Amino acid sequence: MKSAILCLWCACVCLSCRPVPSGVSRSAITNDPELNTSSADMGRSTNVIVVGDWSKPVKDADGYVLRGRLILYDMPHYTNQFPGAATTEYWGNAPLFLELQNLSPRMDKSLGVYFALGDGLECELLDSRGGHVTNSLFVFFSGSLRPWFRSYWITVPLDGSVRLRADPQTGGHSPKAGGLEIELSQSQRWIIPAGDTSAYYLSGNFSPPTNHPAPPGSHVWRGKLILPPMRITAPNP
Amino acid sequence: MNSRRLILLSVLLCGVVGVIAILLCNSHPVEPVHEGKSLSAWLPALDYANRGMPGVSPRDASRAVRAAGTNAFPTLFRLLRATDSPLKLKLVALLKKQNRINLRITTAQNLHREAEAAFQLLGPQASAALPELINMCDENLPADSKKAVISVLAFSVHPTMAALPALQRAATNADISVRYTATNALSNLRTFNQGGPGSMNQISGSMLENLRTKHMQNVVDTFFDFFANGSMGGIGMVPTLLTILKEQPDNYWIKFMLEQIDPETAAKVLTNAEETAVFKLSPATDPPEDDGSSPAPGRPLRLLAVGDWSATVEPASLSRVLRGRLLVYEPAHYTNRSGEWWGNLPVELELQEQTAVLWILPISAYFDYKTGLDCELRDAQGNRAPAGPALSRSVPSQTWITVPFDGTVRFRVDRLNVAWHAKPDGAIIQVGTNSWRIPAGDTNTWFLSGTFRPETKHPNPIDYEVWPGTIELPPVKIPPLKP
Repeated sequence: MKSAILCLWCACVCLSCRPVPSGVSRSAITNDPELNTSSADMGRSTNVIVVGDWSKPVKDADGYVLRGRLILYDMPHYTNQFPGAATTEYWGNAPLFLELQNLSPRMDKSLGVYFALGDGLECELLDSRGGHVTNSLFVFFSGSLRPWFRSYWITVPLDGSVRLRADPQTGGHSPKAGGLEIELSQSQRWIIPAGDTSAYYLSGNFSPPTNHPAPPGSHVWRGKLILPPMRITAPNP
Repeated sequence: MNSRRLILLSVLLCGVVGVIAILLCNSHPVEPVHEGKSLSAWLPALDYANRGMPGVSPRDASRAVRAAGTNAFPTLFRLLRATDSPLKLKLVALLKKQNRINLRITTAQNLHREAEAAFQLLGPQASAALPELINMCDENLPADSKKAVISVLAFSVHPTMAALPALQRAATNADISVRYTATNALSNLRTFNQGGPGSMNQISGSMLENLRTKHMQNVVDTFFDFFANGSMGGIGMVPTLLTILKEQPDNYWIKFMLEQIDPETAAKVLTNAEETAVFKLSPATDPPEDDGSSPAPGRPLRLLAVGDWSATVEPASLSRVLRGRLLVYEPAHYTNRSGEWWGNLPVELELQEQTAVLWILPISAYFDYKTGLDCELRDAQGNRAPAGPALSRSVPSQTWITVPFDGTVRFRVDRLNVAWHAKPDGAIIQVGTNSWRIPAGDTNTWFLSGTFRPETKHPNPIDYEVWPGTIELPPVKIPPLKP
């Protein structure tokens, strides 16, 4: 009996640790006219790698409803050409977008959402066993540092949606193609090396700060979106 | 020509050449020499734009600069004062437009960068250049030169409070880029905290004054400063903020900073009261009964057709690039407590920010549901679609659309609130001042195209820059609708 309970408990633990595979498949992305023509990083990333499932819609105390999902693009490709020298190629971190959709049955106001890098969006990357992926802090760097500071108000229009760049966009810095570098902050940077065929799961939650003076005419949405895990594998080199 | 005249002409020519040579030699002070080369021969290797060029070594150039020490100053000051003639700039611009002739021309900008890098390499020795740099800051130099001097003053030389008055003056320069660099320099000066708390407040006040202009670069830079050094400036900024707030009660950035610095005071002087809704709810926009069967207000729409992206548009007056496309969705059909409803075809406009350089703040566009989008609906032969029912007078109020950095925004551009109690004969599209009906059973393919030309006469309430361009939206192909 005890061993049966133990087995059951182990099974439960395993199931609870293992992320449920989700997100839009690659073939679906290829066939989706919305996604297969989209780009990021000013056209330097042209392929969506994975689109997460939508979170459950969350209604705030005033009846305004928001939902969200994560979208990850391939690593942007930069080139530098100096007179008399060979072209230098660089790759940047993979653009990660937070898409927010206004599903409010109330249509009198847009939703005001304050977005700040490092404040409100928390993500984690797990391996297929549910273990945390160790941050990869050693990255070859060449080029100027981009500012990490980015915070602003965005309004999610009536019945509309917004895609926000949720990573710091550090510019082209890796001289190697292949693999996948996901970066959210200076302490949250993951590198899936080229040739790694394992599946990883990126999930998150988003609760925007509400302590800033609101843009006139908008309603400041208050709540927390649970962003479902999306399955990530490094693109083929 | 006899030989005497020839000799005379030759002597005259030699004399002219000699005078020019003497003038040229005198115009450049004697430069330090390292391993047989003058300092200015080494310096191009320090310009990052020359990275990867054959025959130059930044390491050797660094050694040459360090060997010269303070003797390098006259050369570096000369480089900082360098300017380009308009003709030269035009030539450089022309060369950049082609890729057949691979010719490198050294511009004043290159020389400025060389000087900046050299001052950085000199480290503590560079501090001796501070008095001359402060003087140069007040000289009547072209904007590019002035920016280079300020950059050296603030970032290459260990800055002291002696630079404060000159930087404060530069922060009010007529040229926006000089003001921006000076504000940045003030921020750096504060980081070094050379002059104690009193001086700190002086700098804070000077930076906050920039918020009066509401110019985005000033705003962004003041924020950089605040987030980098906020705790150092602290409560000393509050009186300045309150003074500006009295004069400019609608200045969003002043409110923002006040809230960040002193939430208690902000809570007393700012209210976050919401405005009264101007768009009344109609029965059609009441939440539907949740039977999950069809899209409706408060439910995601089902996509019917996506248009191609427009060309990117960069208005002449603002370097922010946008592109757009149209999306058409299946019409809503749902029931709520008022009965059964059939909706129009929802139409959305998607805007994407495509500016090549890094921007931090979003761009805004004003949208009027009546006049914001000029659309046409035609069939494959170019015939206009038949007119639809009369437009409702009730439309949402105008709204501000914000497009985030490298992001997109989608928003409804149709008349939004229209739904019909009786099942309409065919599909209805209502955008702006147009109303069309695609008859039931119609097998045509229809094409909806439009022109997005946001108004620019309204100031954005939170001072985001207002986009002034026009986007021609390619036709979106609407397939024959299912009955």
